[in-house]
Amino acid sequence: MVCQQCAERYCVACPENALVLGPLGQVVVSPTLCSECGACTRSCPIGAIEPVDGIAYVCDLCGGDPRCVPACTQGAISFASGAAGTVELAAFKPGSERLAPSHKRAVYVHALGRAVRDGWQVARD
Amino acid sequence: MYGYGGRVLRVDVTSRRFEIEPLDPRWIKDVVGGRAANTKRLAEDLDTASDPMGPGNVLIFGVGPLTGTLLPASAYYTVTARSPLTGILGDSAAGGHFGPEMKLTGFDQIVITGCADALVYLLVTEDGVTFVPCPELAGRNVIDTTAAIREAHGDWDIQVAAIGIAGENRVRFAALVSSGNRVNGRAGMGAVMGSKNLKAIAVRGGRPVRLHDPLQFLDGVRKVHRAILDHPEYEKRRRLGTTMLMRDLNRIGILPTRHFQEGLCPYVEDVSGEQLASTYKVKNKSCYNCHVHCSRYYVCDGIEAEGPEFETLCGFTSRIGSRNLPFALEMNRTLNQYGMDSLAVCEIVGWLMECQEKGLVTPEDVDGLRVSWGDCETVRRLVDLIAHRQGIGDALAEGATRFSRRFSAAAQKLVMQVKGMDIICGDPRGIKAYGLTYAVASRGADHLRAEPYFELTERWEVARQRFGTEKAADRLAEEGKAALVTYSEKIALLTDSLTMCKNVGLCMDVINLDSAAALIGAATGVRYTADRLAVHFGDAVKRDLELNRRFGVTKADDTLPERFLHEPLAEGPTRGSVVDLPRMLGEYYRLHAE
Repeated sequence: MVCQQCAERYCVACPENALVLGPLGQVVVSPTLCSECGACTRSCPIGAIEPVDGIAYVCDLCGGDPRCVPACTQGAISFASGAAGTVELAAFKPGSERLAPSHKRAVYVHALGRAVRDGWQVARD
Repeated sequence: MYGYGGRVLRVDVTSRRFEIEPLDPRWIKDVVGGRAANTKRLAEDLDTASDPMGPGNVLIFGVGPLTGTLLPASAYYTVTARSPLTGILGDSAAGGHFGPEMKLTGFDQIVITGCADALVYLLVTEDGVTFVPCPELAGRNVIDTTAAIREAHGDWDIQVAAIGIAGENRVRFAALVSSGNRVNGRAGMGAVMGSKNLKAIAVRGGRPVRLHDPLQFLDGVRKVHRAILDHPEYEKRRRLGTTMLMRDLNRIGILPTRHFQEGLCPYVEDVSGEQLASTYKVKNKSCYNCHVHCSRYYVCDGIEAEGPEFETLCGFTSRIGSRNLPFALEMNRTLNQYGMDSLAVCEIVGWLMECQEKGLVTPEDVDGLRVSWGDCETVRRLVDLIAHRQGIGDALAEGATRFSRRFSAAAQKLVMQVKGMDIICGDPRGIKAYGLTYAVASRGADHLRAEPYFELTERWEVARQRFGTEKAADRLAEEGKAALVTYSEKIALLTDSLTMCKNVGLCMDVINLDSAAALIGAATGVRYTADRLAVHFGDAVKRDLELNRRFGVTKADDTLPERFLHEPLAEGPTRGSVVDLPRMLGEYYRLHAE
């Protein structure tokens, strides 16, 4: 589960102005300004940004050529350039602030998986 | 220490206390980690007079120096204790995501003794252990238990190894299950957990794995990665995983059918890995950091689950005379969620079927249950009775070997077991090195102590170079097999000590003592050579035997069921062959005395 470059961009409302959007729509973190306050971690509805070793850690699209895509031998990860802002996460926002990032990720992935699962059941029935 | 977590966690569940001690670099050096380290710990800590299901048994979770690194297919962890099923050395490994998470807690071993006065689970983090009473989890299956523990701590990165109802009821072959469907199946490690009133071990770590020379390590990792992706069996293994063996073993006439009475299954196409892949399988699943992702996720009759591996698939189809694939898929899920070893259960079932057919056991002997080949409804009932220890299930939960003692010698001889451990789904009459492995394996009938898959690969030239005779690659020959097994035992220990998957590390032959020495050196900074590792693992094999000797095992226990020694198969490519065990054993002992 990585940053979806969502339409809402909850995280960039950073109290230290440490997060800005890059040209690809990726979130860019300033190591100087980030104070590891955790506001972005709380605000992200799907647990895609977390502090690691003193700085917020989030997918930055590897500068436009995400390394995880060719690494996956299952072809499960794809990158659509220019698709930033097309995923809406507002439905996942209510109540998410209370949850740990790992919990938020589980909720999001299960929700995405539900449609796939329903498809499996239909195909088997 | 680089590579290692560098700490050992000792837990006494009776007093609910724990201690953290440093891992002694000299202590670990000659065992590397994983299984070999666990056995060494057990041999040192266990009072061999103590009851396997008493507070004195020592339950050890172990990982290795490369677990949780980028090395592909190294996600395993080993659980070791004195086995309640066999009374001798017991251990069982599983993949999934538990091992790497355990590694991140900074503990290379978790050593558990004592017995809690009520059901608890342990949450292990970098700081040590939290003992969490959990009466509400009694009777819950593995997946529900995992979810409940994550929910309770609000953390979905927690990995859980749990027992189901079978472990709580101390079924002697109860399993421990992690990542929902990854099973430490053999030797009753779930029963040891249950006897300590331990419902689960939950781990959550945050420590990095520090490497001595990360770039050099990465170089070695890339080579292993490449070897996996370029392997001729890669596509097949990724599509079918171990279930490819259904067709492969049937082709050479050694697919256990009707409880090893036959080696050819006429309806193999109905229950093959290919059939599963093209019908109920919906996606691949993987262990942590593995590119083979060979596990199958399936949807069938409203059931969703992962697996089954070959042993369970064969065990609940041809081995019990059933051509019902959905039933095998149902049993896979049921057994994983009850937490029971599928091999121990299918042996009970297959043995009962054969004995009832031959009139050696009557339905009256087993609560009026008449069980014939492929009778799924009765098998379903038996499984429930065993897991809950109800009625005759209470006696069957002692295992096929113990249960058979109520009956005639003829019936006892039909139990396919060595040292009290039920035999896997591979007829040794057509794979002689496996026959030798079953006979000598230190946890009883078991292929994984050596996994001499080499004898099925027809690599004649390599056979001559490595073992001095082409015959080592001829599955029907006895010649060269002692040398093959003696070599494979060391590679098996190597993969187990690095907590690598044997399908990848050993069967796909992507790692050897040389490349392992380089990888371990780059990761830990401890300089090994291939020769040094061979000596260490040779010593470790001896350590297994010494421990078993303390449990009363003698050379007379290194044997096989009579069927494999004296009754040839009637049909197929293995027709007429039996295992000449004394010949291989003599050579094996000679090689081990050197």
